[in-house]
Amino acid sequence: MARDKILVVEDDPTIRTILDVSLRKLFNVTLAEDGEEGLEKARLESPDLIISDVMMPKMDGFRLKEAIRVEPALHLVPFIFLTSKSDEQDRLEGLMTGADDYLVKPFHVDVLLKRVRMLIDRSRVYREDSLAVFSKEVNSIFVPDELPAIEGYDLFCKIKPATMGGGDFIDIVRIDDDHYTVLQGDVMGKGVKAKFFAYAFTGYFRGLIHAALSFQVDFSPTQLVNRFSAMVDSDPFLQDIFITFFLFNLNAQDAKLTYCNAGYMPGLLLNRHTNKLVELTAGGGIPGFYRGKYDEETLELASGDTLVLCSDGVYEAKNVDGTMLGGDQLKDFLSQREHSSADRLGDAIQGLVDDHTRRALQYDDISIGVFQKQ
Amino acid sequence: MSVESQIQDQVHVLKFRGTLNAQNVEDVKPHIEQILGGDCRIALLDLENLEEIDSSGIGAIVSLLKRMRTQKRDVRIFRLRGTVKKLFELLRIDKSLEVYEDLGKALLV
Repeated sequence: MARDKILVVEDDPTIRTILDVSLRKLFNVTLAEDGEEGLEKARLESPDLIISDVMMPKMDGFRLKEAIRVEPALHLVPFIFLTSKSDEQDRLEGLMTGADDYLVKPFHVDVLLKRVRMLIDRSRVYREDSLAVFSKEVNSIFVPDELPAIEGYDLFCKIKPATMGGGDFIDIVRIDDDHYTVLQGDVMGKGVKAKFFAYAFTGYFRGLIHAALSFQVDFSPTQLVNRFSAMVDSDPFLQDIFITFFLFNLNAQDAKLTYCNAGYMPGLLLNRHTNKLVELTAGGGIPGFYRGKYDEETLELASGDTLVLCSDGVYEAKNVDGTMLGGDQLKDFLSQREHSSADRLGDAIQGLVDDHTRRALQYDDISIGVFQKQ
Repeated sequence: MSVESQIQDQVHVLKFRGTLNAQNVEDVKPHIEQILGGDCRIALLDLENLEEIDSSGIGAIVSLLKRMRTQKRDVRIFRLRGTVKKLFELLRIDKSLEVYEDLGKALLV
Protein backbone atom coordinates (compact mmCIF):
# COMPACT_ATOMS: atom_id res chain seq x y z
CA MET A 1 0.00 0.00 0.00
CA ALA A 2 1.21 3.52 -0.75
CA ARG A 3 2.54 5.41 2.24
CA ASP A 4 0.49 8.24 3.70
CA LYS A 5 1.54 11.72 2.68
CA ILE A 6 2.24 14.39 5.26
CA LEU A 7 2.73 18.05 4.54
CA VAL A 8 4.89 19.93 7.05
CA VAL A 9 4.61 23.73 7.04
CA GLU A 10 7.21 25.32 9.31
CA ASP A 11 9.47 28.37 8.86
CA ASP A 12 12.07 27.39 11.46
CA PRO A 13 14.67 25.27 9.60
CA THR A 14 15.70 23.32 12.74
CA ILE A 15 12.17 22.23 13.64
CA ARG A 16 11.41 21.54 9.99
CA THR A 17 14.38 19.19 9.81
CA ILE A 18 13.45 17.44 13.07
CA LEU A 19 9.93 16.86 11.78
CA ASP A 20 11.21 15.69 8.42
CA VAL A 21 13.63 13.17 9.95
CA SER A 22 11.13 11.81 12.50
CA LEU A 23 8.31 11.38 9.99
CA ARG A 24 10.28 10.22 6.98
CA LYS A 25 10.67 6.63 8.21
CA LEU A 26 6.93 6.07 8.19
CA PHE A 27 5.46 8.60 5.80
CA ASN A 28 6.08 10.45 2.56
CA VAL A 29 6.95 13.96 3.71
CA THR A 30 6.59 17.22 1.79
CA LEU A 31 8.07 20.39 3.29
CA ALA A 32 6.98 24.01 2.97
CA GLU A 33 8.49 27.13 4.56
CA ASP A 34 5.42 29.31 4.92
CA GLY A 35 1.63 29.24 4.55
CA GLU A 36 1.64 30.27 0.91
CA GLU A 37 4.00 27.51 -0.12
CA GLY A 38 2.05 25.16 2.15
CA LEU A 39 -1.23 25.89 0.37
CA GLU A 40 0.37 25.47 -3.02
CA LYS A 41 1.89 22.11 -2.06
CA ALA A 42 -1.34 20.96 -0.41
CA ARG A 43 -3.18 21.55 -3.71
CA LEU A 44 -0.47 19.73 -5.62
CA GLU A 45 0.03 16.77 -3.31
CA SER A 46 -3.37 16.23 -1.67
CA PRO A 47 -1.72 15.18 1.61
CA ASP A 48 -3.34 12.81 4.11
CA LEU A 49 -2.42 15.13 6.98
CA ILE A 50 -1.02 18.62 7.47
CA ILE A 51 1.23 19.76 10.33
CA SER A 52 1.63 23.51 10.48
CA ASP A 53 3.36 26.12 12.61
CA VAL A 54 1.25 29.11 13.69
CA MET A 55 3.53 32.13 13.36
CA MET A 56 5.08 32.23 9.88
CA PRO A 57 5.92 34.88 7.28
CA LYS A 58 3.70 35.58 4.24
CA MET A 59 0.71 33.48 5.34
CA ASP A 60 0.46 32.32 8.95
CA GLY A 61 -0.92 28.97 10.15
CA PHE A 62 -4.41 30.27 10.89
CA ARG A 63 -4.84 31.75 7.45
CA LEU A 64 -3.49 28.54 5.94
CA LYS A 65 -6.02 26.51 7.93
CA GLU A 66 -8.82 28.81 6.77
CA ALA A 67 -7.69 28.52 3.14
CA ILE A 68 -7.64 24.72 3.43
CA ARG A 69 -11.06 24.71 5.08
CA VAL A 70 -12.75 26.37 2.11
CA GLU A 71 -11.05 24.22 -0.51
CA PRO A 72 -13.46 21.39 -1.43
CA ALA A 73 -10.71 18.89 -2.24
CA LEU A 74 -8.84 19.56 1.02
CA HIS A 75 -11.30 20.59 3.69
CA LEU A 76 -11.39 17.16 5.35
CA VAL A 77 -7.61 16.71 5.60
CA PRO A 78 -6.64 16.36 9.29
CA PHE A 79 -4.73 19.40 10.51
CA ILE A 80 -2.31 19.68 13.46
CA PHE A 81 -1.02 23.00 14.76
CA LEU A 82 2.39 23.38 16.33
CA THR A 83 2.26 26.18 18.86
CA SER A 84 4.70 27.91 21.19
CA LYS A 85 4.24 28.22 24.94
CA SER A 86 4.43 31.96 24.49
CA ASP A 87 1.14 32.08 22.57
CA GLU A 88 -1.59 33.40 24.87
CA GLN A 89 -3.97 30.68 25.98
CA ASP A 90 -7.27 32.38 25.18
CA ARG A 91 -6.15 33.55 21.80
CA LEU A 92 -5.04 30.04 21.13
CA GLU A 93 -8.31 28.46 22.09
CA GLY A 94 -10.27 30.93 20.04
CA LEU A 95 -8.17 30.29 17.02
CA MET A 96 -7.71 26.59 17.45
CA THR A 97 -11.25 25.88 16.39
CA GLY A 98 -11.12 23.90 13.25
CA ALA A 99 -7.79 22.23 13.95
CA ASP A 100 -7.98 18.54 14.73
CA ASP A 101 -5.20 18.68 17.27
CA TYR A 102 -2.30 20.79 18.44
CA LEU A 103 1.11 20.21 19.94
CA VAL A 104 3.04 22.65 22.09
CA LYS A 105 6.70 23.05 21.22
CA PRO A 106 9.01 21.52 22.30
CA PHE A 107 7.26 18.20 21.67
CA HIS A 108 8.22 14.55 21.98
CA VAL A 109 8.65 12.82 18.68
CA ASP A 110 6.82 9.74 20.01
CA VAL A 111 3.79 11.80 20.97
CA LEU A 112 3.78 13.46 17.57
CA LEU A 113 3.93 10.16 15.72
CA LYS A 114 1.12 8.69 17.78
CA ARG A 115 -1.18 11.64 17.15
CA VAL A 116 -0.41 11.67 13.46
CA ARG A 117 -1.13 7.97 13.14
CA MET A 118 -4.35 8.23 15.09
CA LEU A 119 -5.68 11.17 13.06
CA ILE A 120 -4.88 9.56 9.71
CA ASP A 121 -6.48 6.27 10.72
CA ARG A 122 -9.55 7.97 12.09
CA SER A 123 -10.16 10.01 8.96
CA ARG A 124 -9.72 6.92 6.82
CA VAL A 125 -12.28 4.95 8.82
CA TYR A 126 -14.81 7.79 8.51
CA ARG A 127 -14.26 8.02 4.80
CA GLU A 128 -14.54 4.29 4.15
CA ASP A 129 -17.55 3.89 6.40
CA SER A 130 -19.49 6.66 4.77
CA LEU A 131 -18.64 5.40 1.28
CA ALA A 132 -19.64 1.85 2.19
CA VAL A 133 -22.96 3.00 3.63
CA PHE A 134 -23.62 5.14 0.58
CA SER A 135 -22.72 2.42 -1.93
CA LYS A 136 -24.84 -0.16 -0.17
CA GLU A 137 -27.86 2.11 0.07
CA VAL A 138 -27.56 3.31 -3.47
CA ASN A 139 -26.75 0.02 -5.19
CA SER A 140 -29.94 -1.56 -3.97
CA ILE A 141 -31.88 1.09 -5.90
CA PHE A 142 -30.51 0.01 -9.26
CA VAL A 143 -32.12 -3.38 -9.58
CA PRO A 144 -35.82 -3.87 -8.98
CA ASP A 145 -36.50 -4.85 -5.33
CA GLU A 146 -38.75 -7.58 -6.51
CA LEU A 147 -39.01 -8.77 -10.07
CA PRO A 148 -42.57 -8.55 -11.34
CA ALA A 149 -44.23 -11.91 -11.88
CA ILE A 150 -44.95 -11.87 -15.61
CA GLU A 151 -47.13 -14.78 -16.57
CA GLY A 152 -45.33 -17.10 -18.95
CA TYR A 153 -41.91 -15.55 -18.41
CA ASP A 154 -38.87 -16.08 -16.18
CA LEU A 155 -36.65 -13.18 -15.24
CA PHE A 156 -33.21 -12.78 -13.74
CA CYS A 157 -31.63 -9.38 -12.95
CA LYS A 158 -28.44 -8.79 -11.08
CA ILE A 159 -25.86 -6.05 -10.72
CA LYS A 160 -22.61 -6.85 -8.98
CA PRO A 161 -21.03 -3.49 -8.11
CA ALA A 162 -17.31 -3.08 -8.71
CA THR A 163 -14.64 -2.00 -6.26
CA MET A 164 -14.79 1.41 -7.84
CA GLY A 165 -18.50 1.23 -8.62
CA GLY A 166 -20.00 2.43 -11.86
CA GLY A 167 -23.49 3.53 -12.78
CA ASP A 168 -25.20 0.40 -14.06
CA PHE A 169 -28.95 0.06 -13.70
CA ILE A 170 -31.88 -2.20 -14.59
CA ASP A 171 -35.46 -1.02 -14.34
CA ILE A 172 -38.71 -2.78 -15.14
CA VAL A 173 -41.84 -0.67 -15.46
CA ARG A 174 -45.16 -2.47 -15.30
CA ILE A 175 -47.78 -0.82 -17.43
CA ASP A 176 -50.47 -3.44 -16.99
CA ASP A 177 -50.55 -7.23 -16.63
CA ASP A 178 -49.56 -7.68 -20.24
CA HIS A 179 -47.28 -4.74 -20.94
CA TYR A 180 -43.85 -4.00 -19.51
CA THR A 181 -41.00 -1.67 -20.40
CA VAL A 182 -37.51 -2.85 -19.48
CA LEU A 183 -34.46 -0.65 -19.36
CA GLN A 184 -30.92 -1.90 -18.80
CA GLY A 185 -28.07 0.57 -19.06
CA ASP A 186 -24.85 2.11 -18.00
CA VAL A 187 -23.71 5.64 -17.18
CA MET A 188 -20.28 6.20 -18.69
CA GLY A 189 -18.08 7.11 -15.79
CA LYS A 190 -17.41 5.89 -12.31
CA GLY A 191 -18.20 6.49 -8.69
CA VAL A 192 -20.74 8.63 -6.95
CA LYS A 193 -21.41 10.91 -9.91
CA ALA A 194 -22.25 7.97 -12.20
CA LYS A 195 -24.57 6.50 -9.56
CA PHE A 196 -26.33 9.80 -9.12
CA PHE A 197 -27.02 10.09 -12.83
CA ALA A 198 -28.15 6.49 -13.14
CA TYR A 199 -30.69 7.20 -10.42
CA ALA A 200 -31.86 10.44 -12.02
CA PHE A 201 -32.08 8.75 -15.40
CA THR A 202 -34.35 5.88 -14.38
CA GLY A 203 -36.61 8.45 -12.73
CA TYR A 204 -36.69 10.49 -15.92
CA PHE A 205 -37.67 7.47 -17.96
CA ARG A 206 -40.43 6.45 -15.61
CA GLY A 207 -41.73 9.99 -15.86
CA LEU A 208 -41.63 9.85 -19.63
CA ILE A 209 -43.51 6.56 -19.74
CA HIS A 210 -46.17 7.64 -17.26
CA ALA A 211 -46.67 10.92 -19.08
CA ALA A 212 -47.23 9.01 -22.31
CA LEU A 213 -49.66 6.67 -20.55
CA SER A 214 -51.66 9.43 -18.91
CA PHE A 215 -52.21 11.02 -22.31
CA GLN A 216 -53.05 7.56 -23.62
CA VAL A 217 -50.33 7.81 -26.19
CA ASP A 218 -48.71 4.64 -27.43
CA PHE A 219 -44.98 4.84 -27.22
CA SER A 220 -42.42 2.81 -29.05
CA PRO A 221 -38.85 2.28 -27.85
CA THR A 222 -37.51 4.57 -30.59
CA GLN A 223 -39.90 7.33 -29.56
CA LEU A 224 -38.63 7.12 -25.99
CA VAL A 225 -35.00 7.03 -27.11
CA ASN A 226 -35.46 9.97 -29.51
CA ARG A 227 -37.07 12.01 -26.78
CA PHE A 228 -34.28 11.24 -24.38
CA SER A 229 -31.55 11.83 -26.96
CA ALA A 230 -32.96 15.26 -27.81
CA MET A 231 -33.04 16.17 -24.13
CA VAL A 232 -29.42 15.17 -23.56
CA ASP A 233 -28.37 17.01 -26.67
CA SER A 234 -29.96 20.29 -25.66
CA ASP A 235 -28.90 20.28 -22.00
CA PRO A 236 -25.43 21.78 -21.51
CA PHE A 237 -25.36 20.28 -18.01
CA LEU A 238 -25.28 16.84 -19.59
CA GLN A 239 -22.40 17.45 -21.98
CA ASP A 240 -20.09 15.25 -19.91
CA ILE A 241 -22.62 12.57 -19.06
CA PHE A 242 -23.37 9.75 -21.41
CA ILE A 243 -25.85 7.00 -20.82
CA THR A 244 -26.15 3.95 -23.01
CA PHE A 245 -28.99 1.49 -22.65
CA PHE A 246 -31.05 -1.30 -24.13
CA LEU A 247 -34.77 -0.62 -23.98
CA PHE A 248 -37.59 -2.97 -24.82
CA ASN A 249 -41.34 -3.14 -24.61
CA LEU A 250 -42.77 -6.56 -23.92
CA ASN A 251 -46.26 -7.55 -24.82
CA ALA A 252 -46.51 -10.67 -22.68
CA GLN A 253 -49.79 -11.91 -24.12
CA ASP A 254 -48.70 -11.78 -27.78
CA ALA A 255 -45.08 -12.69 -26.91
CA LYS A 256 -43.87 -9.68 -28.87
CA LEU A 257 -40.76 -7.84 -27.85
CA THR A 258 -39.80 -4.53 -29.49
CA TYR A 259 -36.38 -3.19 -28.67
CA CYS A 260 -34.04 -0.31 -29.40
CA ASN A 261 -30.38 -0.58 -28.49
CA ALA A 262 -29.00 2.90 -27.75
CA GLY A 263 -25.24 2.37 -27.71
CA TYR A 264 -25.40 -0.55 -25.28
CA MET A 265 -23.75 -3.91 -25.75
CA PRO A 266 -25.76 -6.00 -28.24
CA GLY A 267 -28.59 -8.02 -26.78
CA LEU A 268 -28.10 -11.75 -27.24
CA LEU A 269 -31.10 -13.82 -28.21
CA LEU A 270 -30.84 -17.55 -27.66
CA ASN A 271 -33.18 -19.62 -29.72
CA ARG A 272 -33.85 -22.97 -28.11
CA HIS A 273 -35.08 -24.69 -31.25
CA THR A 274 -32.59 -23.56 -33.87
CA ASN A 275 -29.78 -23.55 -31.30
CA LYS A 276 -28.73 -20.20 -32.68
CA LEU A 277 -27.55 -17.08 -30.97
CA VAL A 278 -28.54 -13.79 -32.60
CA GLU A 279 -27.07 -10.37 -31.78
CA LEU A 280 -29.67 -7.66 -31.37
CA THR A 281 -28.26 -4.46 -32.78
CA ALA A 282 -31.25 -2.49 -34.07
CA GLY A 283 -31.12 0.99 -32.57
CA GLY A 284 -28.27 3.45 -32.78
CA GLY A 285 -25.34 5.01 -30.94
CA ILE A 286 -24.92 6.93 -27.70
CA PRO A 287 -27.96 9.17 -27.01
CA GLY A 288 -27.16 12.87 -27.24
CA PHE A 289 -24.21 12.20 -29.48
CA TYR A 290 -25.35 9.82 -32.20
CA ARG A 291 -26.39 11.68 -35.34
CA GLY A 292 -28.11 8.86 -37.20
CA LYS A 293 -31.71 7.71 -36.94
CA TYR A 294 -32.65 5.17 -34.28
CA ASP A 295 -34.49 2.13 -35.44
CA GLU A 296 -36.21 -0.71 -33.61
CA GLU A 297 -37.02 -4.34 -34.23
CA THR A 298 -39.91 -6.50 -33.12
CA LEU A 299 -39.29 -10.13 -32.25
CA GLU A 300 -41.85 -12.83 -31.80
CA LEU A 301 -40.73 -14.98 -28.94
CA ALA A 302 -41.19 -18.72 -29.11
CA SER A 303 -41.22 -20.95 -26.09
CA GLY A 304 -37.73 -21.15 -24.58
CA ASP A 305 -36.38 -18.08 -26.36
CA THR A 306 -34.10 -16.17 -24.06
CA LEU A 307 -32.86 -12.59 -24.21
CA VAL A 308 -29.55 -12.01 -22.41
CA LEU A 309 -28.30 -8.49 -21.68
CA CYS A 310 -24.79 -7.98 -20.29
CA SER A 311 -23.05 -4.70 -19.49
CA ASP A 312 -19.59 -3.88 -20.83
CA GLY A 313 -18.33 -4.86 -17.37
CA VAL A 314 -18.98 -8.49 -18.37
CA TYR A 315 -17.23 -8.21 -21.74
CA GLU A 316 -14.32 -6.28 -20.25
CA ALA A 317 -13.92 -8.31 -17.04
CA LYS A 318 -10.19 -8.83 -16.63
CA ASN A 319 -8.12 -11.53 -15.03
CA VAL A 320 -4.89 -10.80 -13.15
CA ASP A 321 -2.93 -10.78 -16.43
CA GLY A 322 -5.23 -8.11 -17.81
CA THR A 323 -6.88 -10.40 -20.39
CA MET A 324 -10.50 -9.50 -21.04
CA LEU A 325 -13.29 -12.04 -21.09
CA GLY A 326 -14.45 -10.79 -24.49
CA GLY A 327 -17.63 -11.21 -26.50
CA ASP A 328 -16.59 -14.36 -28.35
CA GLN A 329 -16.04 -16.32 -25.17
CA LEU A 330 -19.35 -15.09 -23.76
CA LYS A 331 -21.23 -16.08 -26.92
CA ASP A 332 -19.60 -19.53 -27.06
CA PHE A 333 -20.54 -20.04 -23.44
CA LEU A 334 -24.17 -19.06 -24.04
CA SER A 335 -24.49 -21.20 -27.18
CA GLN A 336 -23.84 -24.27 -25.08
CA ARG A 337 -26.50 -23.39 -22.55
CA GLU A 338 -29.65 -22.78 -24.54
CA HIS A 339 -31.65 -25.13 -22.32
CA SER A 340 -30.95 -23.43 -18.99
CA SER A 341 -33.60 -21.61 -17.00
CA ALA A 342 -33.27 -17.83 -16.57
CA ASP A 343 -31.90 -18.14 -13.03
CA ARG A 344 -29.39 -20.80 -13.92
CA LEU A 345 -28.22 -18.94 -16.97
CA GLY A 346 -27.80 -15.71 -15.00
CA ASP A 347 -25.84 -17.47 -12.27
CA ALA A 348 -23.76 -19.28 -14.89
CA ILE A 349 -22.77 -15.98 -16.55
CA GLN A 350 -21.80 -14.57 -13.16
CA GLY A 351 -19.82 -17.79 -12.60
CA LEU A 352 -18.08 -17.39 -15.95
CA VAL A 353 -17.02 -13.87 -14.99
CA ASP A 354 -15.89 -14.95 -11.51
CA ASP A 355 -13.89 -17.88 -12.91
CA HIS A 356 -12.20 -15.59 -15.38
CA THR A 357 -11.38 -12.76 -12.98
CA ARG A 358 -10.56 -14.84 -9.88
CA ARG A 359 -9.29 -12.33 -7.38
CA ALA A 360 -8.44 -9.53 -9.81
CA LEU A 361 -10.02 -6.22 -8.77
CA GLN A 362 -12.96 -5.25 -10.96
CA TYR A 363 -13.32 -1.64 -12.00
CA ASP A 364 -16.71 -1.84 -13.61
CA ASP A 365 -20.12 -3.05 -12.54
CA ILE A 366 -21.32 -6.39 -13.84
CA SER A 367 -24.98 -6.30 -14.90
CA ILE A 368 -26.78 -9.34 -16.13
CA GLY A 369 -30.39 -9.42 -17.29
CA VAL A 370 -32.05 -12.61 -18.53
CA PHE A 371 -35.60 -12.64 -19.90
CA GLN A 372 -37.02 -15.99 -20.93
CA LYS A 373 -40.29 -17.06 -22.49
CA GLN A 374 -41.40 -20.26 -20.77
CA MET B 1 -0.94 5.32 -20.63
CA SER B 2 0.74 8.35 -22.11
CA VAL B 3 -0.58 11.28 -24.11
CA GLU B 4 1.57 13.34 -26.43
CA SER B 5 0.20 16.74 -27.29
CA GLN B 6 1.27 18.76 -30.31
CA ILE B 7 -0.13 21.86 -31.99
CA GLN B 8 0.69 22.72 -35.59
CA ASP B 9 -1.10 24.91 -38.13
CA GLN B 10 -4.32 25.08 -36.10
CA VAL B 11 -4.40 21.32 -35.71
CA HIS B 12 -4.09 19.98 -32.18
CA VAL B 13 -2.87 16.40 -32.21
CA LEU B 14 -3.22 14.08 -29.20
CA LYS B 15 -1.35 10.81 -29.49
CA PHE B 16 -2.53 8.12 -27.11
CA ARG B 17 -0.46 5.17 -26.07
CA GLY B 18 -1.36 2.20 -23.86
CA THR B 19 -4.59 1.84 -21.91
CA LEU B 20 -7.14 4.58 -21.27
CA ASN B 21 -9.52 3.66 -18.46
CA ALA B 22 -11.22 4.76 -15.25
CA GLN B 23 -7.93 4.79 -13.35
CA ASN B 24 -6.13 7.23 -15.62
CA VAL B 25 -8.87 9.13 -17.41
CA GLU B 26 -8.30 12.13 -15.12
CA ASP B 27 -4.80 12.50 -16.59
CA VAL B 28 -6.31 13.14 -20.01
CA LYS B 29 -8.72 15.84 -18.85
CA PRO B 30 -6.09 18.66 -18.79
CA HIS B 31 -5.25 17.91 -22.45
CA ILE B 32 -8.93 17.99 -23.36
CA GLU B 33 -9.46 21.27 -21.53
CA GLN B 34 -6.46 22.69 -23.36
CA ILE B 35 -7.99 21.81 -26.71
CA LEU B 36 -11.37 23.26 -25.75
CA GLY B 37 -9.80 26.44 -24.39
CA GLY B 38 -7.52 26.82 -27.40
CA ASP B 39 -8.32 27.98 -30.90
CA CYS B 40 -7.30 25.03 -33.06
CA ARG B 41 -9.67 24.29 -35.90
CA ILE B 42 -9.25 20.55 -35.76
CA ALA B 43 -8.47 18.18 -32.91
CA LEU B 44 -6.89 15.03 -34.24
CA LEU B 45 -6.87 12.02 -31.95
CA ASP B 46 -4.23 9.53 -32.97
CA LEU B 47 -5.39 6.20 -31.54
CA GLU B 48 -3.01 3.95 -33.44
CA ASN B 49 -1.11 2.97 -30.30
CA LEU B 50 -4.08 2.96 -27.95
CA GLU B 51 -4.31 -0.66 -26.97
CA GLU B 52 -7.33 -0.63 -24.71
CA ILE B 53 -10.15 1.67 -23.66
CA ASP B 54 -13.09 1.33 -21.27
CA SER B 55 -16.35 3.22 -20.99
CA SER B 56 -14.80 6.02 -18.88
CA GLY B 57 -12.18 6.57 -21.59
CA ILE B 58 -14.81 6.58 -24.29
CA GLY B 59 -16.84 9.00 -22.20
CA ALA B 60 -13.91 11.44 -22.17
CA ILE B 61 -13.45 11.25 -25.94
CA VAL B 62 -17.15 11.51 -26.69
CA SER B 63 -17.45 14.48 -24.37
CA LEU B 64 -14.63 16.24 -26.25
CA LEU B 65 -16.35 15.51 -29.56
CA LYS B 66 -19.63 16.82 -28.32
CA ARG B 67 -18.23 20.03 -26.86
CA MET B 68 -16.17 20.73 -29.98
CA ARG B 69 -19.28 20.22 -32.08
CA THR B 70 -21.15 22.91 -30.14
CA GLN B 71 -18.21 25.24 -30.82
CA LYS B 72 -18.48 24.34 -34.53
CA ARG B 73 -15.02 22.83 -34.48
CA ASP B 74 -13.94 19.47 -35.73
CA VAL B 75 -12.62 16.31 -34.11
CA ARG B 76 -11.14 13.57 -36.26
CA ILE B 77 -9.89 10.19 -35.32
CA PHE B 78 -6.78 8.84 -36.88
CA ARG B 79 -6.47 5.09 -37.05
CA LEU B 80 -8.47 2.68 -34.96
CA ARG B 81 -6.96 -0.66 -34.13
CA GLY B 82 -7.85 -4.00 -32.57
CA THR B 83 -10.03 -4.01 -29.48
CA VAL B 84 -10.46 -0.23 -29.51
CA LYS B 85 -11.79 -0.40 -33.06
CA LYS B 86 -14.15 -3.22 -32.10
CA LEU B 87 -15.55 -1.29 -29.17
CA PHE B 88 -16.02 1.88 -31.26
CA GLU B 89 -17.97 -0.18 -33.78
CA LEU B 90 -19.96 -1.98 -31.12
CA LEU B 91 -21.04 1.31 -29.57
CA ARG B 92 -21.44 2.83 -33.04
CA ILE B 93 -19.24 5.77 -32.19
CA ASP B 94 -17.53 5.40 -35.54
CA LYS B 95 -20.84 6.33 -37.18
CA SER B 96 -20.96 9.71 -35.48
CA LEU B 97 -17.49 10.96 -36.28
CA GLU B 98 -14.93 10.74 -38.97
CA VAL B 99 -12.27 8.08 -38.80
CA TYR B 100 -9.30 8.34 -41.12
CA GLU B 101 -6.69 5.80 -42.08
CA ASP B 102 -4.51 8.31 -43.85
CA LEU B 103 -2.93 11.21 -41.97
CA GLY B 104 -2.83 13.39 -45.11
CA LYS B 105 -6.57 12.97 -45.63
CA ALA B 106 -7.31 13.48 -41.94
CA LEU B 107 -5.65 16.89 -42.14
CA LEU B 108 -7.40 18.06 -45.29
CA VAL B 109 -9.98 20.76 -44.71
